[in-house]
Amino acid sequence: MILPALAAGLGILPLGLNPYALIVLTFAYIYAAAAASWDLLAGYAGQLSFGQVAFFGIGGYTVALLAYHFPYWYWLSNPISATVIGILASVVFSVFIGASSVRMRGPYFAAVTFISVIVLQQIVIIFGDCGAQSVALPTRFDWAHKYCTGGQFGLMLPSYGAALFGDNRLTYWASLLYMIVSLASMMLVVRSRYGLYFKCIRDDEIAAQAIGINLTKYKLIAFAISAVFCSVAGSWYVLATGMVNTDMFGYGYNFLWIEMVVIGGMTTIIGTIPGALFVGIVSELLRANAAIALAVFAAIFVIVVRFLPEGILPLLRRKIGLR
Amino acid sequence: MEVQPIVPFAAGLETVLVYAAVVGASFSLLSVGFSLMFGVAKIIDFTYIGYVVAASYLVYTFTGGTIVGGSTPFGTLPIGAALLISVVGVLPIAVFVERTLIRPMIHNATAVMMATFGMALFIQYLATLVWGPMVASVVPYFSGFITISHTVVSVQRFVVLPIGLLAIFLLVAFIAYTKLGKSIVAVSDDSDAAWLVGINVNATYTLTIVLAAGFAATAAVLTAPTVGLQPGMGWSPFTTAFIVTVLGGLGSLPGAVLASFVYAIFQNSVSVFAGPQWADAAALVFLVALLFIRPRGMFGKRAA
Amino acid sequence: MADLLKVANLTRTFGGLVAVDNVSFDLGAGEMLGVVGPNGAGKTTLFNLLTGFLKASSGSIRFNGKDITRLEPHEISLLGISRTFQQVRYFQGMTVLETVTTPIILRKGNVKKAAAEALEAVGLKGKEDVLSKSLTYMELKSLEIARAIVTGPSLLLLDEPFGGLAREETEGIAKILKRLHEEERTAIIIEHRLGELVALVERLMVMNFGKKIADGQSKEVLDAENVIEAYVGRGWKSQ
Repeated sequence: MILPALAAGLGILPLGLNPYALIVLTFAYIYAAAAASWDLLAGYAGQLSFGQVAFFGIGGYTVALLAYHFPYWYWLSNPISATVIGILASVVFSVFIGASSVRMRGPYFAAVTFISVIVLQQIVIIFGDCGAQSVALPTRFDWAHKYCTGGQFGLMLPSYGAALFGDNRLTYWASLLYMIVSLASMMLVVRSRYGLYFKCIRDDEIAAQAIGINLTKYKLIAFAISAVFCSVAGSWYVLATGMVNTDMFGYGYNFLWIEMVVIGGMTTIIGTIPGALFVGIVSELLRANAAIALAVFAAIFVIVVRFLPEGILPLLRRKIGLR
Repeated sequence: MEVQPIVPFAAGLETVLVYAAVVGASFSLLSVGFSLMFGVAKIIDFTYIGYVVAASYLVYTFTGGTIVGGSTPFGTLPIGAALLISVVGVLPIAVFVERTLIRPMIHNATAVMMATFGMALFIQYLATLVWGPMVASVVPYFSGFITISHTVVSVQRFVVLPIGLLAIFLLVAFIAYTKLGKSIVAVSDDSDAAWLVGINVNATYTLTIVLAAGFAATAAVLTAPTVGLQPGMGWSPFTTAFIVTVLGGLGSLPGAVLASFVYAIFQNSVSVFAGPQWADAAALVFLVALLFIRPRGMFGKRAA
Repeated sequence: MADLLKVANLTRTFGGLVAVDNVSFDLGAGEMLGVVGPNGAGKTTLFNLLTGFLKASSGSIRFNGKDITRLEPHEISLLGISRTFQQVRYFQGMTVLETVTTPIILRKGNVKKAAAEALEAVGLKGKEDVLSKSLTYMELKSLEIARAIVTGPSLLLLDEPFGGLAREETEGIAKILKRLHEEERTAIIIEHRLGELVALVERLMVMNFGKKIADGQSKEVLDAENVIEAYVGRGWKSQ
C-alpha cells in the first residue's frame, strides 16, 4: 500500500528541513489522525457529526488536568493512564450524546453534536482561572478552584512537550509514528466486519435493517470508536506540545478536520494525509494574517463541497488509473 | 444569547417572567424563520449563524459604536434607516446561498449542511478580518426605562417584545391569508403534491430561506445594543433557534412561538439560580432530554 | 406440517385510513403464496408489517410459534425472514461480493460458500468486485434477491420481483424464482404480472382496500367474480 512509501518519505524529511517546518508538519500529523476519526464516522458510517472536537478536547484536558492537579499520584497521571482515562471519558460522552441523537435523522444528530461542543467549551471556561479569583463562579463553587482548568488561556505543562521529547526531531518522528499507527488501526477497523456494517448504514439504512443490522447499536459503536481515536489524538497533542487551552474545544478544529477529509477524499482515511498537508502548508503561507487564512479555508471548503464532493484522492486515483 | 443580569431572587417570580417575556420575544424572532426553513425545506442552513453575525455588524457599522480600542469606520445613519439596511442587506446573502449552495444539493442534506457550515464560518472569518476579533458594542437606539409592575426594564430591551410580536403576527397572517404564504404550507406538507398543483416549489424554498434570514437579522438588529458583538456571536442564537424549533415541533409556527417563551423561562431560571454561564450547558441537557422524551416537540406533526 | 407463519387479524391504520384491514392467513413450510391486488390495496404495507418496518395497530403475527408482532426489523431478519423491496434498495458504495457476504458475516456462517451459491443462483457470478452503483437495474434486482437468500432464510418475502423489467429480463428473474420454487423455499410474492406469478405459485391471496378478498388455488381465485371486479371492474367477464 501507499502507506509504507509515504512513511519512509515523510520520515526522511527532518534531515532536510528547518525546525519550524518540522513543527508545522508535526501538528499536521496529529490533525490528520484526528480528522481521520471523523472520516470513520462520517465517511464510513454516514453519521455527520459536527462535534468531533469534543473528544479531542476531552482527551487533551484529561491528560492535562490529571498531570496538573495530581502529579503525585503517578499511577493516575502518567501519560498512558491519563490517555486511557481520557478515552473512557470520551466514550461515555459519546454514548450520552449518541443515545438519543443517533436514532434521529441526520440533521438532528449534526445539530446536537454541534451544540455539545459549544457547551463543553463553556464549561471549561467556567472552571478556569487558576490562581486568580474566578469571577464566573459564585462562592459556593469554591471547591472548583482546586480543579481549575486554566479557563480561556489554558495551562502549560512543564513535564510534557519539549520536556518529554527533548527535541523537535524526536517529536516529529514520534508524531509521525503515532499518525501512522493511528491511521493503520483505523483502516483495520474499516476493513473489518464493522466497516461493512457501517457502509451498509451509510448507504441505505432500510436495507441495512432488512439484512439484520441493528442501526442504533452500530451507529453508537461507530461514534464510540471515532471518539476513541480522536481522544487519543487530543491526548497526544497535549503530550507533544505541553499546552492545553479552550481552542481544543473550538469548532475551528472541527471545521479544519472536516476540510482535510473533504479535500483529501472522504471514505479514504488516508486521504487525511494530503488533506492535512495541504491545510498545513496553506496556513503557513498565509501565516501573516490568520484571519485571511481561515477565510480562505472556509471559501475553499465551500467550493470543494459544492463541486468536488468526493475530494481529491478519488479523483487522483481515477486519473492515475487505479480503482 | 443575552447574558441576563442576575436578578435577585427576592425580586420574585414576576421579574423572571417579565424578563422571560422580553427574551422570549427575541427567541421567537430567531426561531420562526428557522422553524420555517427546517420544516419546509427540511434542511438545516447553517448560514443562519452568518445572517445573525452579518446583520449585527451591519447595524454596528451604520449606527456607530465603539470597538474596544478602536473607532467606527463609517458615519452614522438615522436609526430607522440603519435598521432597515441591516436587515435588508442580509437578504441578498440568503438568496445567493440558496441559489448556489442549497438548491443544487437539496436532496443531499449532508452536503447542504457541510456547505452552509463552511459558509457560516466564512462569514465569521470575514467579519474578523473587517471588524477585528475584539468585542464591539452598538449604541442603544432608545434610552430610558419603563416600569412594569415592580420590574424595571430598559426601553431598549423591552422594545423587542412589541416589535417582535408584530412581526410574527404579520408573518402568521401572511402565511394564512396570502397565496404565497399558503404555498409555503403546501410545500411543507408535500412538496411533490405542491409541484403537481402548479406551485413553484423552488421559489417557495427561496422565499422560506429569505424569510428565515430576514427574521434572524431582525432579531439580531433589535438585540444588538444589548449584547457585545463578536465574530463568533452566531452560534448561541443558532443553538437557541434549533432547540426552540424542536421543542415547538417541526412545522409548527405557533409551536415555535410558544416554545420560545417556555425556553426563555427555562433559560432565565437557570441564569437566576445557577448563574448565566451555565445557560449553555443547561441548554444541551435540555435538548438531549427533549429528544429522548418527546422528539416530536409540543405540536410537531412528525417525529424527529 | 406445522404452519410457519400465522397471521391473525392484522390491522394497520394511518389516521383515518385503514391500510390493512383485519387480514388473517397461514403459511406452511415449503409453500409459495402469491399476493395480488390493485395498487394501494395494502400489499406492501402487509410486507412492512410482517418485517417490522411498520407496527401493527392490532392483530398478531406468529413465526415458528413465536410472536414477532412487536419486533424490530433487524431482529426479524435475524430470525430468518428476508425481503426485497418494491423500489430496489442497494448499497451503492459496496461491491457485489460485499453485499452478499455482509448478511452472513453478521450471522457467523460459512461466508465463501453461501456467497458463491447465492451469486450463482441469481447469475451474478463473475461480478463480485463490481461496485453496486455500476450495476444495471436488472442486476440490482438480482443482487437484491441474492442478498435475501444468502442467509438461507426460512421465509422469503419478494415485493414485485418483476417490477420495471422488460420482457427479456423477466425470463432471467423467472428462472431464479423457479429454482427457489424447486428448492421448496417458503415464500410470499407480491406481483402484478399475473402471468409470471401463476407459473410459480399454486396459491393466491387477493387484497383490495386493505382487506383479503380471496385466498385459494390460483385458478379458482382468478375466476372468482369479486376478484375480477376488483381488478378490472364489473362486466369484464361477460365479454
